[in-house]
Amino acid sequence: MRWPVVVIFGYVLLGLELTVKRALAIGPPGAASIAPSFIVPFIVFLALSAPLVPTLWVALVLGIAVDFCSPDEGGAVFVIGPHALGYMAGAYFVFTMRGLMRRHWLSLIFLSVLACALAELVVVAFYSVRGMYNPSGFVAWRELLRRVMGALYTSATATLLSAILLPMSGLFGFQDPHQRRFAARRH
Amino acid sequence: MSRSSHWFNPRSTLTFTSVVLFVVALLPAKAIEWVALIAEPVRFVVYPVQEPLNRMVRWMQGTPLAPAPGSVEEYIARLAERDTQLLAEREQNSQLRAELAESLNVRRLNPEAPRRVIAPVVGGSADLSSGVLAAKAGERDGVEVGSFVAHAGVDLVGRVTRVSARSCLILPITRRGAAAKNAPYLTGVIMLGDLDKGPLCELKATGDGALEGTVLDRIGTQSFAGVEIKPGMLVRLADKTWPSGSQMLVIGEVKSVGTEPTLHRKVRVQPRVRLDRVSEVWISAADTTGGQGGRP
Repeated sequence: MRWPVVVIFGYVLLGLELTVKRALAIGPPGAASIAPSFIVPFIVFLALSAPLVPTLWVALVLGIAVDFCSPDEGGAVFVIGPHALGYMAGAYFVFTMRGLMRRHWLSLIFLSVLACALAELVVVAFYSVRGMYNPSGFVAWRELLRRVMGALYTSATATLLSAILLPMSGLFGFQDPHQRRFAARRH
Repeated sequence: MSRSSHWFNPRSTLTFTSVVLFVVALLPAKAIEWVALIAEPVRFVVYPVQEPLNRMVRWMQGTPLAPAPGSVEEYIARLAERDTQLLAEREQNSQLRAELAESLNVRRLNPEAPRRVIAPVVGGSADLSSGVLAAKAGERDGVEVGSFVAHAGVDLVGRVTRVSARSCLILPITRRGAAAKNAPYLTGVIMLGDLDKGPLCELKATGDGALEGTVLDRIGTQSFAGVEIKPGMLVRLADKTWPSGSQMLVIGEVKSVGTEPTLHRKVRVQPRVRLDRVSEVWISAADTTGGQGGRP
């Protein structure tokens, strides 16, 4: 995997997550909005082709960045960990599923929805536990419903990103996951 | 063979980092206050990509497409319309000049009067549930924690909750749980006319971009029980826990009127602008040009 390419794409997609996501949000304003993710389809794209540990590192770093850009309690507190661990869970899920699927745009869309839902489930779980000793008006079932709808909406961004990322996968320098590392060369 | 050195193993470091994050994510708010110190450099790193994308979004949201050239008659009609607009704006301009001169007089006489900084909103939170907005004005501009924020100087947006040197975070009034612990309600006055104040109401954010609360039909000896409250009436801020400069800013319009089980009237108030989509805000700021004016 070529790290500079991953860093550039990750950086731009983080920017999209912070700006365009808000503009694409549907439904009532604020906390009730349903918005797609730009980062999850990228992590899914990596998890479909790249080795496990580098993919998890990318998910972790992007998740920490999102956590740093998601202040809680009205900007008073920054909780780092929920998105990082959520994205890692999503990446690991895709990694375990990739043996069953081809590297195809439909796989990317389908797995993006599932990975996003899983990541959001982890985030809601963390905030629900925190809510037990740190009341902040976080209603778990409402958040879960909104975020699952957001995961479905992520299929739109996953479609767009699959059209961009899959043709450019050569740039990322992935090895064929089906090629064995120490396989005997056939003459 | 692995190229990683003996002290950095990607797999074990990843496990260790995950465990640390798991623990940190569950620590109470007091124990993770230090995280905010790292958040600012992260925002600084993200800003170069966030700003152009934000400009692009604003352009896509707000700028109308140039009209196609039409016939001569259309051109003449548009010219006449522009003339009317020009006259109207000249009139408005002279009014604004007078108001500006007046406000300069106020500032000369009362240095404690808040200064207002116009700041572009440079994005919000990656997680929309936090509902926080980030604006490009900070300590250097005199913005402080607790400064009130308005849209176009008229509609109340919220309060500043965190300030760094160049940017600040704003908590909109429509964010569920936005109210302070010592003041759980936002008190507004329902306007019966342009300058005619009606009953007070205690509002709380509903979480879907609106506020809802009980109408206080009796204030001291004055009773508003017979006063009809209609949808469309303006609700202005009349809350002693907010800075004096923010009083009478518009919270929103009455959308519906209902009755509570206690038979008190309740109103649902909707801000006139979508607070999560404002592109520019006015922030009250302390005077940084000299003296001690403006600081509480």
